[in-house]
Order: sequence, then C-alpha cells, then structure tokens
Amino acid sequence: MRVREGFTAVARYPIGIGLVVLVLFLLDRSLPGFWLTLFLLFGINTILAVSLNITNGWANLFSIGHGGIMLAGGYAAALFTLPVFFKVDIIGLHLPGWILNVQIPFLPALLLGGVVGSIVGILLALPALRLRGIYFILVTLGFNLIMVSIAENLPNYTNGAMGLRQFPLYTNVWWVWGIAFLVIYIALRLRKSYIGRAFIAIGRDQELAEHMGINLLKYKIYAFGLSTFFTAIGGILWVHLILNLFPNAFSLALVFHVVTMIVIGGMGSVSGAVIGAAIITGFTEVLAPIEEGFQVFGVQVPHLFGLTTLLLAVVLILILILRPQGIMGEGEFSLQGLRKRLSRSKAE
Amino acid sequence: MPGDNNQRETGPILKIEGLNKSFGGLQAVLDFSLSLETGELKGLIGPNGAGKTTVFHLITGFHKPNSGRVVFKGINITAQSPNRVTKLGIARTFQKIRMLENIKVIDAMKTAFYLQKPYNVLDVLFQTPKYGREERQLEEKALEFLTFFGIAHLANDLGSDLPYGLQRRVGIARALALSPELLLLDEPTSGLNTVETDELVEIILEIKDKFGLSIILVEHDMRVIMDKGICDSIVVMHQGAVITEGTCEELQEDERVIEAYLGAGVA
Repeated sequence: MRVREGFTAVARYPIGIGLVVLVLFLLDRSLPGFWLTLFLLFGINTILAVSLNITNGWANLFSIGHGGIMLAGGYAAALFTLPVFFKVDIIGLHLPGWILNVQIPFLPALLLGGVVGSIVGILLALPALRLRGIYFILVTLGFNLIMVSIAENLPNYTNGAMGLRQFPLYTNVWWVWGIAFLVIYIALRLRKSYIGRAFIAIGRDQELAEHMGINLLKYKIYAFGLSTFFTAIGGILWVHLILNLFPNAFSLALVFHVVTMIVIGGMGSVSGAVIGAAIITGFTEVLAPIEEGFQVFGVQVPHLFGLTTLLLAVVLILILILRPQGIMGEGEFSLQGLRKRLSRSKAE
Repeated sequence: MPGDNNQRETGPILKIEGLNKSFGGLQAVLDFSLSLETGELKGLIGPNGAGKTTVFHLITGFHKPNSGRVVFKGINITAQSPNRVTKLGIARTFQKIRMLENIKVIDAMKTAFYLQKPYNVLDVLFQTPKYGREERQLEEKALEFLTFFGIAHLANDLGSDLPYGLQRRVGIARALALSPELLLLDEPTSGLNTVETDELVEIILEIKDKFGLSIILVEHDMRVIMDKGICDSIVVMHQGAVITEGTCEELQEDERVIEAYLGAGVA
C-alpha cells in the first residue's frame, strides 16, 4: 500500500502537465506579439529568479555576479548558434574552424552554455567563498564588471562592444516555460530533501551546519553550480528572443532586477521568486511607455527617462518597510494552505 | 529507538594529549590532556574564560590547535574539519543553542539527519517510491526523538520561538540525531531554572544509558556538578590549563579548585 502511494502521486502529473501544455498552446496561439514577448520574458525572469534564489535565498551566498554568468553562457552558446555566413563573412570572427563552420540546434547550445556558465560560476565561487557577507557580494559585483570588460575587449571572439546579431529565433513558449517549470520542479523537490535542507542550514548557520556533518565547500559549490547552470540558460533564452547580444546586455541593472524579484517575492521561497518575476516583468515592460510622458488629470507629465526604475525602487522600499520578509516569506504557495486560510477567515 | 547501542568497548574512546591553542597573545588552552573511557561521563569545569569551550572547538576541529593530538576511537582527528569529526561520531551542543531561524522543530530534526542520506538526487528528482518511504521514515524517526524528549507536540512550531528550556531539549535531540558515540554538552543547563535543570539532568543520564554514550559535560552550575554527583570524574581548568582531576568528593576538599574559583586566601 505504502509503495503504491508513491505511484499515485506520479499518476497525477500527466493530468497537470496536460493542462499546462494546453494553456501554453492556447496562449502561444492567441496572444498578440507584444504580450507574447512579455509572457516569454516573464518565463525567462522566472528561470533567473528561481535559480538566483538557490544561492542568494537558500545558501545565503548573496551573488550579484550572475549577470557575468549569463554573459559567459550567452556568448558560449551564441558562437555556436550564429549562422556561419555571419560569423565568417560579415563580422569575421577569429575562431577555430570547428566553431566557425558549424551552426548547432538549440538544445545542445543550451546545454553547452549552461555547462560553461556552471564552470565559470564555480571558478568564481572557489576564491570568493573564502569571503563572507559583504565581501562576498563585492567580489561577485567585481566579477560582473570584469566579465563585461572582457567581452568588450576581445573583439576577435565577441565582436567587442558592437555585439552580435542575426541570431536564429529559437526561443519560444515551449523552451522558455518548459525550462521554467523544470527549474521550479527541481527547486521544490530539492527543498524537501536532505540536499535542500543542507543548503538552507548553511544559509542560516554555517557553523551549526558544519557540526551536523555537512561539507560546507561541497554544498556551496553544488548550490553555485546548479544556480549558475540555469542562470546561463536563462541568458541564452534571452539572447535568442531579443536576437542581440552585446557586452552590456546583462549589466548590474539586470542583476538588480532579478535580486528585486526575489526580495519582493520572499528570499528563500520558490513561489515567491515566481511572483516577484511576474511583478517586476509587468512593472518594467508594461509601464515602460509612461517614460515617454503622459497626461494625468489634464497635467502633462514630461518625458522622464528612468521613471519605471524609480517607481520600482519605491515599490522595493515600501515592501522592505511593510513586509520585510517578502510576499511569500520563506513559505511556499499551496492550495491546502490557501484553503486553510480561507476557512479560518470565514470562521471569523 | 534508533541508535540503541549498549555494547561497551574497553580502552579510552577519546584521548587528548598536550593540546595548545593561542589566539594572538592569549594562551586559551595550555598543555591540555584528557582521557575519556567508553561510557564515562566527565565533567569539565572552571571559572569564566578558563578555555572549556575552546577545548570543545579543538576537539570538533572548529579551531585548529597549535600543537597536541586528539585521538578518537584510535583515529587521529587533530585539526580535521567539523563535518568529518561529526561523521566519525562526535556530536556537540552549543551554549547558545543555535536554533535555526524560522524553521520548524521537525524540519530542524530532519536537517540533523543529514548524515543518513538514505536516497540520492535521482530519487528526489524522479520522486521514486524509495524517496517517499525514506522521507516518511525520517519523519517518524524525528518524531520518535521528539517524543523521547517530551516535545513531540511542538514539532510544527518554530524552533526559535520556543522557550529557552525547550530549545535546549531540541538542541540535545538534534545532536543525538547524528547518532554519536561521544556527546559534548556545552553548558546544557545555562539559562534554565532549577526545575528545568533537574529535568535536563535526568534526561542526560537517561540518554547516556539508552544510547551507550560517552559524555563530556562543560558546566557552570556547581549544583549540577557537585550536588547531583552525576559525573564519573571531573576535570578542573583554570586559565587554559588543567589544574586537577578527580571525583567530586575529592575536588570539594581541593584548595587549588577553591582558589581558582574564589581567589587565593579564602580557603
């Protein structure tokens, strides 16, 4: 009886997956261009936020260097997915023939970029993990700047500040949301296992974790490797949606956005990261037109560049004051919890 | 009950020889030696700043000694990292308990079962029946420990919200979850009232027999050490060095002990 319980849980998945696929299919068909792009950006931001949450929220390795990881993974994949004529004839990259003369499909490019991101992330983590707190943050900040600098100053491989274009439009609903659901699934499952518990124990109290037999270095590297793998994949999806890759694409401003997502949603909560991603994506994209100037009650507001960023900062400050633990806190969204809360409020 | 283990081996389970540790100019531990027999309960006392907690740090490898040797079950564990020492069978509690913020008692216990790792990553990701079975077993085991400590009804409360006395119990339950052979208790009764203290002393004696533990007990409360007479022998530290060792009757007469606590000329 007990053994079969495991299978009945599995048997519920096909129905859920079927429903999700149907919804995605309908959205893919019915959404107009702008809203579809928005939906894809939401998915990409979900991937970024959930994976950043593994290091920043769980293991308390507060990284603001994930932009550099996206850059590394993005360029690694881009060099393989760009059309051969563009690499050879138009911008003339100086690369070995086995890179220059091939164009590979999306899946291997994603995996390759993810692995490169993961390796770069671990190489960053190894020295950075000797530091704690604010010093760790500073190293990751420096790493982000260094990666941008490197991309700008290697014109033979990256076309420098001019950037790369003419990407094939690989990114679609299926890739983005398939991977987003995968990341969410992995994160939620890990959280309820000894691996996630080890991450969280390290994040809360490193000394105690060590005395519970947890190998700190090993688990910090696991956390960083996993987080950077999916962050790099998020970067690659972005590149093949925007069809443009330049050194400043994943600057600190972008990292700031992703950090804001997990702070608003609740550090340590996977569902919080998704909610944060939805809010920030909506905020920055939907409100973007107001920067062009608008009329309120007959008063003309002039063109204000950076107005959305300003509003975002205000929202962030308000959340930090009113609900410092974020919307979800450290908990997860669940139908059971919602039902319990509803019945309680009804009783009152 | 998991961890039942009553066979006693002979020979010292822990042997410390000539341990030295200094922080800058401060000699925290000076030529510290100790021998703990299997199944023994040894008290480690001394005035504030005598270096008792530092000795614990040196045993678990949290601090690296400047010189000296720590041998556990015949294995040299000097300057090993705490996670390896824990794996070998030494668990400790903390004076400040170190309750994980915002984590339920039951989850804190499950975290402490980390070393058991009864399934692997693939079991987690594919939600195999093995994962479900082992997770349930882990939960049952955690509840069993909490029941033993009389705090099973608090399993779903946040550990950091519990009163101090109950937090202490969770702290000890958490250490036992590591299925240790040697338990290092760092001032387990500090901050407790007399009733709570008496209860905790009972618990310590009970777990010692039940799990076949050897225990080193750092204690501030002379009532626990002297009046209860729970220790097989007591080591007295002063300014980083061992000044004497003996049973509590012997120590009560010892002038050096009185001098260390109360100053010269009182005795």
